[in-house]
Amino acid sequence: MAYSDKVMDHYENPRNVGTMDNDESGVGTGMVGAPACGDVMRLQIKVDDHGIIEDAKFKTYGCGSAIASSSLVTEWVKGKSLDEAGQIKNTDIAEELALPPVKIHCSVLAEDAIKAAISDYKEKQAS
Amino acid sequence: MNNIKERHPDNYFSLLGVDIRFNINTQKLTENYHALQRSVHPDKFANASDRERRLSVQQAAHINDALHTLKNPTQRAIYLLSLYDIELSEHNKSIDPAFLMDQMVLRESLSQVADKSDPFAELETILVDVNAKIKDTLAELESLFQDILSNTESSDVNNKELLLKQATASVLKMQFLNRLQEECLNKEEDLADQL
Repeated sequence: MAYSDKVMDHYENPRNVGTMDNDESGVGTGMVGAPACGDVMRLQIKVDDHGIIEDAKFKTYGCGSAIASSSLVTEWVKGKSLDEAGQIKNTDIAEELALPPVKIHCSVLAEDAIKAAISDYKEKQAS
Repeated sequence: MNNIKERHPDNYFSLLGVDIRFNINTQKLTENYHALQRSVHPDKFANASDRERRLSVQQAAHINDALHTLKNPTQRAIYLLSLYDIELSEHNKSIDPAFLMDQMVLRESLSQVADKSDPFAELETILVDVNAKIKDTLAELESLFQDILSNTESSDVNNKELLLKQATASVLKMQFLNRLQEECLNKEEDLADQL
């Protein structure tokens, strides 16, 4: 199956690959996976004192579409507030990357990942 | 909803003549499969009507599906769950984050084996770990399905639901572990190619 140019671009030059120290204050980690294909995705955010996401990192083991979806999300969330980032929809990701129907689940995984990272951050702040 | 056999008289286990359980007798499974396949083989229907021939082809395909489903432990578990009307969704947010974290670590180590002084030894360590996890998960499934299938009408419905939930969680783990095992074997081939 042919990947779109945008998927190829993110696949060949993934943005923001890496790890943040999960124990550091302001860091939220989202871990998600797709059992059917065995993909695993980790997406982390670093939130500043004003509730703005100042940095984001990801690591994904999976297909090109899963890597591109998470790479794109890390680009999108930087500079956004938690509320804004939480509103990112998988359909926005799928549209931007021109994902075919069989790869829509990769964009859903990326949406789940950012939501999980945000709720992990909020839980840490509350405790 | 208690007796699986009554609710699903045409299930794959009965078709291939093995007991409905997780740890099945695989030798018996293959033997029965071959016997059954011979009895419906399209060659036998060479002189039969078109309809009979078509039916024999359909039946042969159905028997093949049954074998492939029951032969593979993960597929067998998914099939058992389906007999209890549980469908695995593509998206499951209930996967234990600690388990996913562990998968991530293993995938990371796997991606780095080529840089190690002894990549094959490194790979072997990972594979041993993955295989041990698969073995544990299969044992979990056997014990859970034993409890689920032995549950009779009088047993506690809530307890059964809990057991089915646990079995679903174990199946999801198996899917990740199978994929990881596959990746290990792919890596082994890559390394061998580079020798």
